[in-house]
Amino acid sequence: MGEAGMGLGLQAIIIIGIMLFLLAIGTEIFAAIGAGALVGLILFLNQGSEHFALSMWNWVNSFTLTAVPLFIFMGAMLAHSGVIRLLFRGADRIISFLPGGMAASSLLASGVFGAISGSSIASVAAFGTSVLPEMERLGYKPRLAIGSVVMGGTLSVLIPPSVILIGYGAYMGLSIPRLFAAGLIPGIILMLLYLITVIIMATVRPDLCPPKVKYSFKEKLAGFLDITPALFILTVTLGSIFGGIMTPTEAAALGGFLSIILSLVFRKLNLTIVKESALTAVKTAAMLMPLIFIVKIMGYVFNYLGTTDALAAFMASLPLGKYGILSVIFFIYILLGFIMEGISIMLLSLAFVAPILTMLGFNFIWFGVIMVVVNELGLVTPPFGLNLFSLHAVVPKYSIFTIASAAVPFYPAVLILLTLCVVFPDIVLWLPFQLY
Amino acid sequence: MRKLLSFLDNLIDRIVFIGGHVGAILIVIILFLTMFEITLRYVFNNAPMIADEITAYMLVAVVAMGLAYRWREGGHVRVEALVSRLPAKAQYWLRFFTLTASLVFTVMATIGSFTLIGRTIQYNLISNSWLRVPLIWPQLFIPFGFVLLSAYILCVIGRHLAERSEFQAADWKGLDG
Repeated sequence: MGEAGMGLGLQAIIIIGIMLFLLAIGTEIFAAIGAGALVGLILFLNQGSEHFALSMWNWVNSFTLTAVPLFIFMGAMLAHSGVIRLLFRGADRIISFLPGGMAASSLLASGVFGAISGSSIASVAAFGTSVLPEMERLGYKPRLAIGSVVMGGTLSVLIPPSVILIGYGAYMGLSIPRLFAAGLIPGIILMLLYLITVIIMATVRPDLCPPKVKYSFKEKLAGFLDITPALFILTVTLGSIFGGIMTPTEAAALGGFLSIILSLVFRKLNLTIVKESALTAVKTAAMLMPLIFIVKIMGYVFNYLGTTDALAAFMASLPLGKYGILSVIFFIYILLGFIMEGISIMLLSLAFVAPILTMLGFNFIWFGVIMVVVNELGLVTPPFGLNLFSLHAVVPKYSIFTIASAAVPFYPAVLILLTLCVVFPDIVLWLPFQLY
Repeated sequence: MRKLLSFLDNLIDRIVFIGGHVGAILIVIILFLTMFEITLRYVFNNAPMIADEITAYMLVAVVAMGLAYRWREGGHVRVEALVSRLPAKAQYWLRFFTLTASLVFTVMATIGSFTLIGRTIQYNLISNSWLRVPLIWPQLFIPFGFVLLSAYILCVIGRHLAERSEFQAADWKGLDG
């Protein structure tokens, strides 16, 4: 059945309908998208299922994407090595003067650890098991303690190296170092906004946290020593990327190697830790890569049918203006965030959104960072926020609802950053264009 | 017959488990191979430039073997918001349907991957680098991965049917299998 036999709109509706139906009834996302693409390939394009294998070969056979499992491995190794406890202790001693003490330290440490690991789930799980019990023991109310841990995890998807930005860059054919550089300043701003949120909460509701702990000058100095191992790895990996010395994959390998050395130094290195860390990396790669190559086929099908161009032309013709259309796209992302997880939404939508952005003249590096910021809300929004599930898995006594409620006071911080990035795009684009 | 099915189920489960662990070993090899090249480049100023190509092939192997392993260890991501509100019986049959749909897709992808292999053999494709690697070897992981995933989904369907009477809504956790 060719295009002549059936209208373009109807073909697209059938493919999208099959995909959405399968998604809605709980089919695994990669299989649901794959089934929709398969129908398009066979029925409307008269092409075979060979495209799936070809797409897997073309897109997964990539040195750039190898950085994803290596960064995950590095983060998992560091989580096991005891670096987090040191990082948190150091951050606590250094910024103990702030209202909200440990909650602020937790956010600062999450930002640094997230930067090292690139994984939101790993960060939340690690802090949920090590930092949260400590905060509870000292008398922090769950609302503040949970909120700081679950939101701290979102920093890792923005502050480089970010796994989601590697996926986006690989899909769009963009420079990964440039994307990393683009995420750095917004990531730091978001961390500061989260810190301000904690300070406001602790000032307005002093009952949320215990009285401030005073550390001597010597203890504060020791705090800097505590955060040195994490900062060393962060400086080496990011420095080698931004300095143009190494590719992101090489920097990830170096970071992974250093994390093994660090585990050895802290006497935590054993075969089980290495095995578990490597298996975590395998699982992440096996979740992300199929999405990339299957969504690529979906994009190919819609491109071949002319659906993406037609949709882009339709959106551009709407009397909403450039930023009005962008707002519509954000709104759809936030809606999808209620039922789907961030990376899936991002990859699934790019086939449609990329031509619209091209037509409207938006910068893809800027949009990648903006999309990640929007996705951060999805990470802490029920019913599908991965950070909520990740924390609930390690601290089951708190319900998903309780965890989600604790995240709500931090929403304005994300929205403020989003507004800042839209109004002042140089927040995102200045650094990458200075470096490269 | 039941014994045979149980044996096959265990066998496939074991292969998937081993596949995941082979993937884990490959991750460590990727790390050290990349480090080896970095060391040669910066310490001895002489890099063989093979890590890019070999590690990319290894990533294909990791993903291929990880497909089924990920399913085994908690499954690929899926949307549960709507289905979790349905009665248990409806959930049971919907799960059967979604597993079957997944199986159809993976079987078709498996067939396609053998077509790819056939073409690679037909045209005797080799890599463009100085290594001149016959592409058939790294590409073989693709059909292997899809076959393993299809076989594993078949096992999951079998278990699902066997547990019909004991089916509980708890089976529907968004990130599990």
